[in-house]
Amino acid sequence: MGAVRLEEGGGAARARDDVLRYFAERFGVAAEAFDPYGVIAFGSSAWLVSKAMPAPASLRGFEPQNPGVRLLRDLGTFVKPTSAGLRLVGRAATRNVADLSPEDLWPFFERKPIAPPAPIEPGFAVVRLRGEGHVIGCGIQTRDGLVSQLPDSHAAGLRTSLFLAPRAGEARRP
Amino acid sequence: MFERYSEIIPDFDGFAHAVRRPMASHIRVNPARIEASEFVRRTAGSGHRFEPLGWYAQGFVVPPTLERPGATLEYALGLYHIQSASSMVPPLVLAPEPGDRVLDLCAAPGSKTTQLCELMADRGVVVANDLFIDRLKVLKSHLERLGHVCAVITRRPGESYPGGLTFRRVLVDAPCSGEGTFRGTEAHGRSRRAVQETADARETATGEPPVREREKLYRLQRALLRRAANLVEPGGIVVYSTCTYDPLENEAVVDDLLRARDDFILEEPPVDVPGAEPGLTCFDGQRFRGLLARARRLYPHRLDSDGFFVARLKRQGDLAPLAKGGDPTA
Repeated sequence: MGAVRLEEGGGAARARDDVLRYFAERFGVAAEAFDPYGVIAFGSSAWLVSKAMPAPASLRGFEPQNPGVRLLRDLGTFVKPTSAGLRLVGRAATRNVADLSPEDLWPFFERKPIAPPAPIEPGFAVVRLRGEGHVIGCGIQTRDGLVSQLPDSHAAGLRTSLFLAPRAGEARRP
Repeated sequence: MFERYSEIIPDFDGFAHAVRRPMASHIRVNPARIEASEFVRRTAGSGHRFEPLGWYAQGFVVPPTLERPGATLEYALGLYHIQSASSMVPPLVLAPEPGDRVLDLCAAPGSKTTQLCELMADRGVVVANDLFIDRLKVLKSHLERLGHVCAVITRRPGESYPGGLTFRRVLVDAPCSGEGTFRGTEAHGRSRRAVQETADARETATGEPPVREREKLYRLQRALLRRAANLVEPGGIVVYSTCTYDPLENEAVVDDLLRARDDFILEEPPVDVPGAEPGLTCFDGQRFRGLLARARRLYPHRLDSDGFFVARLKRQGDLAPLAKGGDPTA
């Protein structure tokens, strides 16, 4: 997956093409899933933005931060999808998707490797809540199993909501 | 502490009683993630019955069965945002449209910013500006959780926000003494703290000398509104809002702009909020322009929420058509 080049100012069309190719190859996301969005490179990341978003270079004097939602981070030798970005386009994923049950999620939130319900190629995965269809975020399939890549704050919020906060009078921790 | 307002707040006894009561909590459903009707069905299945506000389709009252609305799966997935009902009013008064270019001059922590994105269906641009790093972190987390792609964050002092961009609409939700957020028995202490914390935070961020008096806060609010007036396009809209009752921070600030800029008029808000009172035309011997009656004051005994002030100012002229793609630099 090293074909993505997130060079700021390297051309919006190329950034979009590279990002769409990555998501198609890794997750089977059709290009139409990106139709509502613009894709730009800013810093060392690719961002999903509204199509009216000005080029960050034109905002230099304004100290711009976070144009839209960060989709991919360029980590030098590879790129990593973000959980926030996957929550926007991950519903359209058809490959390398893990639909996890609440029972799977408790150890997953603790960053313990778990066995995914269906085979996943080594690398990043879209993690969804089984039966809901809602995308939770990003995981990574290692030799030991599927490991959470969720930001700590997001994982903590989900863990609290799923297991620790009583819902309609019941405690849900498995 | 609110005795000084006894002459201007209608049914002051009812007001005094309301501020001693706990306030209802409210949420705003995120239509980018779920339809409001589906949200109601979904949460009813969990035993929680959300009642609609009635004057805003996305706004709901949190039921007493849900003690921690910030600890639900629906919240973590960005299906809704916790926001007081009165705080939802300024974006509705600004009334941005999809494709607009909007500046939220004092954006963090971001409830109104995310509501602006929602009202624009994430089409267009919301430039969300604030000076304070910690508050910007909260803004970023809300934007990510709710999945809004039309916002870009900037970090500049609002009162000297750079030129080079113009906007069709500007929201000035100004730093204020926060009197309207007080509910309980320690009103005086909390309000004084709010003033001091605002002043101290600005001092840290800007290196300015200590700012401890309400008059200093007034000067900041006045400077913010005057800057906003320079940034909005002819025909565009500026909304000024605070969560305080103090006329010095509200009507006096708007009155100052109207005296300084004869190309601005005060308009009636385009949303009808139950219980909203007209703005003041005089207070404590000071007279304001009669147009100030077009502003709105929200009181907790009329709308069970925070106290708020909101005014909609229009810059005279014809609004230019949106540039292709809505690029504000075009």
